[in-house]
Amino acid sequence: MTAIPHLEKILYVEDEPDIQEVARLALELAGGFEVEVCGSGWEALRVAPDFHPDLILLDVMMPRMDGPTTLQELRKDPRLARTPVVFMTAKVQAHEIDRYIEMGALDVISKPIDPMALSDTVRSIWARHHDE
Amino acid sequence: MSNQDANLESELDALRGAFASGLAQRLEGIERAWQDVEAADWTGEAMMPLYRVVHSLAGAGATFGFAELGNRAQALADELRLYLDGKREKSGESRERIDGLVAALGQAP
Repeated sequence: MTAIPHLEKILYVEDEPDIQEVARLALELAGGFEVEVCGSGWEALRVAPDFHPDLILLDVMMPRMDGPTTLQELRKDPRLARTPVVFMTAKVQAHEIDRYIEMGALDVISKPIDPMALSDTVRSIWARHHDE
Repeated sequence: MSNQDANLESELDALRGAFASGLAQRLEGIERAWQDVEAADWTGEAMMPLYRVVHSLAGAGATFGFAELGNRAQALADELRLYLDGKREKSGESRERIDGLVAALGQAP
């Protein structure tokens, strides 16, 4: 049985400041993760190579560069091509989840987020991914 | 409840409080943005800032547990999206609908 890699560093990409703050607190305080927050896809592309995240949480609906486009751009960078990405979105439907998984996302977390459960949800996705 | 969860709850309470205190100002901003859209004859350029603040309120409201406010803001954001995407056009009826949705935000329980 292969050990599950340690999940420590999370890059969180979200344009809404209120939600940024809630998720950052949830991931840091309840999850103990090291979190870097980016307000746009462009910022994520700039920050991610130096931050070396274990996992990227990516909001789907962002102005200018949305989540799916950001994922495509991340995959073009050899340093980030294999970094696991989880989408976060409101009003998600089953066919959309399938589409996001086909794009290369590990999973989709629906919004609004439950701050008390977010870290456990992320750990569960991480464990499931490494168990497959 | 663990210490970490208690700390998180406490921090979240502070954020919820700040959100609630700033809500009236946010709603005034939405009303102003809607007036700007009217003054600019509903151009997409004027509509986008309104959409952004409403979309932001929908996300924040839902996240902070103001479910009805979040739902009402989302309904308004969905309506505005139709105009931004060119799927609906300006009319007296649409003005009344948006007026109603904007007013409903301020009456959310």
